[in-house]
Amino acid sequence: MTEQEAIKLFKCLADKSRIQILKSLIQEDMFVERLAERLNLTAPTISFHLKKLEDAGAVTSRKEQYYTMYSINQQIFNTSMLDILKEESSESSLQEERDELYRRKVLDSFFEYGKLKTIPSQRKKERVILEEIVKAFEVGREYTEREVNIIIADYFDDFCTLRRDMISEGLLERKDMKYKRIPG
Amino acid sequence: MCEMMEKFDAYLTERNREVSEEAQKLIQEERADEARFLKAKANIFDVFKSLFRVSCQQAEGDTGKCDTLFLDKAKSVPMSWQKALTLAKEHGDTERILMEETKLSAVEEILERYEVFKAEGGDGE
Repeated sequence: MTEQEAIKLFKCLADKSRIQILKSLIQEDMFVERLAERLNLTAPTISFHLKKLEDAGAVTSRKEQYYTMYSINQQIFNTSMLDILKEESSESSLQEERDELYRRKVLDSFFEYGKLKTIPSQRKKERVILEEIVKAFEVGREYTEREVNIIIADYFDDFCTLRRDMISEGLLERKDMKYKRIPG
Repeated sequence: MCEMMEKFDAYLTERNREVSEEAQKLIQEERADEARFLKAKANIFDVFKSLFRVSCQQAEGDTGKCDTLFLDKAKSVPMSWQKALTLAKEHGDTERILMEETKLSAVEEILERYEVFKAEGGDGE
């Protein structure tokens, strides 16, 4: 478990309702409505907490007929605190974690359900969103300008600005009216 | 402001206080995330108090006009929350679903109580 994963897990566990959910799940696997009834919370509240627990790796889910069943992730809870504290991280992997955290934060702020809300004014942040959008282009394939526009328009209406910025940032290249993704 | 309007205004103030207190209790119980949703709910009572007061001011003492203005605002303001809820459901965004449902439940409660106050207060004279 990386430091960031450990922090995420501990933050997630620092909540009475989530601890109550885990206490129920340790007895048996349950679905949302059953937990809601048991803990006297609404189903949307339980779903919200389960999502957080799942993201932190504390629970897992599986589809069972009409229901989604939730189980406690035994493996995570069998990890000793000492093992977590003894985990050593190199400076390069710590830097990678920090970069990934920053990237995630920018994407969460500027994207909503896969659509770009606005173009960031800071160049560093715009670079992050451009790097994300350019993933929609296959490396080695040539695209017409129309194809490029259609792909970018899936993310944001002002495809002209983003297309130009991708070129100036060295993410796309234009030659003879054809566009290609520059491998990063 | 007529008696019915004063009562409704007081109700909104009281509910804002009650829900804020509930949120504080949740924080003390180490349930900060749920408290955040309740804080948003408390805020709705405050928002609607502002909407109601502005409607009353714009109506300049005409209770019928105040009623129309307030209901127009009270129905148009939550439209974006309803849209956000639909979108959140489409994407399985549990946090946003809970937030928008909490806000809309407060709106539903407010409008129901408003109708009760109106029925009790008659024309407000």
